[in-house]
Amino acid sequence: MPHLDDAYAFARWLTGNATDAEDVVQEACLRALNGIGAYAGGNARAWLLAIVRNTTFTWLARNRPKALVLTDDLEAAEGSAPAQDTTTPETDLIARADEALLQAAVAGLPTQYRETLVLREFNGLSYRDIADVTGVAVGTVMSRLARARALLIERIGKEMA
Amino acid sequence: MSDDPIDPRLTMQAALDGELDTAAQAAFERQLADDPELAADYARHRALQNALRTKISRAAAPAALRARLDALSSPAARKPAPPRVLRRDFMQMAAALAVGLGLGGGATLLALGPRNPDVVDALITAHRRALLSGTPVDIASNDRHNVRPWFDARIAISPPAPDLAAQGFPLIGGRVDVIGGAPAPTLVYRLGAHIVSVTALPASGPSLQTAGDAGFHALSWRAAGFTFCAVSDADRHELDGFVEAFKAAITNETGP
Repeated sequence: MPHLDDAYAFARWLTGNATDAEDVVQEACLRALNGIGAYAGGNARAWLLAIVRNTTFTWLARNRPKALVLTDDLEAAEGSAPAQDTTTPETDLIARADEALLQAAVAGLPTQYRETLVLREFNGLSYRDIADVTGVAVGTVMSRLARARALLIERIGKEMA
Repeated sequence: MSDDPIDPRLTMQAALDGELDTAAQAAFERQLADDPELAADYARHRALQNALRTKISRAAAPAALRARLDALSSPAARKPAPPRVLRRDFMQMAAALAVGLGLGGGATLLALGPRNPDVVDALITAHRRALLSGTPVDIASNDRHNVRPWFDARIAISPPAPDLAAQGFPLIGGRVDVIGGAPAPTLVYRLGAHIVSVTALPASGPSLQTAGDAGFHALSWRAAGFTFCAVSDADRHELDGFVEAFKAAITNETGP
């Protein structure tokens, strides 16, 4: 079963929970099968991840309505605090961050930033593929990555200060 | 290619992720050298990226989940292959999924970006046919000043044919493929032990998806009024290198 690890890792980050991720991935695989007629070439991994993403949001809306916060106004949602206002951590401080802190920092990102960052850093997708999976323009992928990374650096700076 | 000034913060992301072409990467590196603040920020981002990639262990799919999904594919009754030409890795996935499940109506339609499998398929097929025929080119010439007029005379289309010999990708020649019923100029370059077919399609057409099929990769981009598509059996990394060199050469030729 190709791409299963990718699908699971992505669902794990989106749901934040191993059991939920299993349910989502199983459902997504069944949907992928039913959607075979809609597959029209291109990157099969990105195609499957797009299905995992859609399935996750449907699943969360049904089963974890409180956990699913999607907003069009991300800047407002995070209080639009520019990262420059806070002290920026030194490079070697970031390098010393441990797994638990990094995990928590990523898990704490707003959903849209998190999914973009995860597809890039943990699934290794190109900007083009991330844009296809998340249904936004490449420019939006770039600005979301920029914001996600700035937020992570800020968070690491706070936690390790 | 857009040459609009772009937010340096965004350029930095693209640099981190290896998404800049050669020219833009060089420009960014010059910026880094001139701007210590930017360089410090870049270093922080590099440290973050490195920490994320090396310290967070990747969650593999649990064996139980894999077993459940595999169980769906265990019956010997394999479905015949779907009628469409599907890509190999997807075929494997489809085979694993399709078996033992009631396929048929009620397909779940998913909102996906526009795709154009037929064109990509046709390009890959043209490339394979050219390889099999033993003569991948209709005009053999390592001089782009021969190849371009030849296209112009035959099909009145003359795509840019950058000289990439210095970057290690000598031009072999050109041929005319027929894609979607229309003649399309195809440049042929050597890439190590492989050859690359670069077909120039009208930019008015739909954009194409990157694809991999049975060991062939197809990469597409737009430049100089064309939608280019490079097809090769070279590995993806090598082909990426070629495409970057091609893009950079066209950018230099057509001016910033």
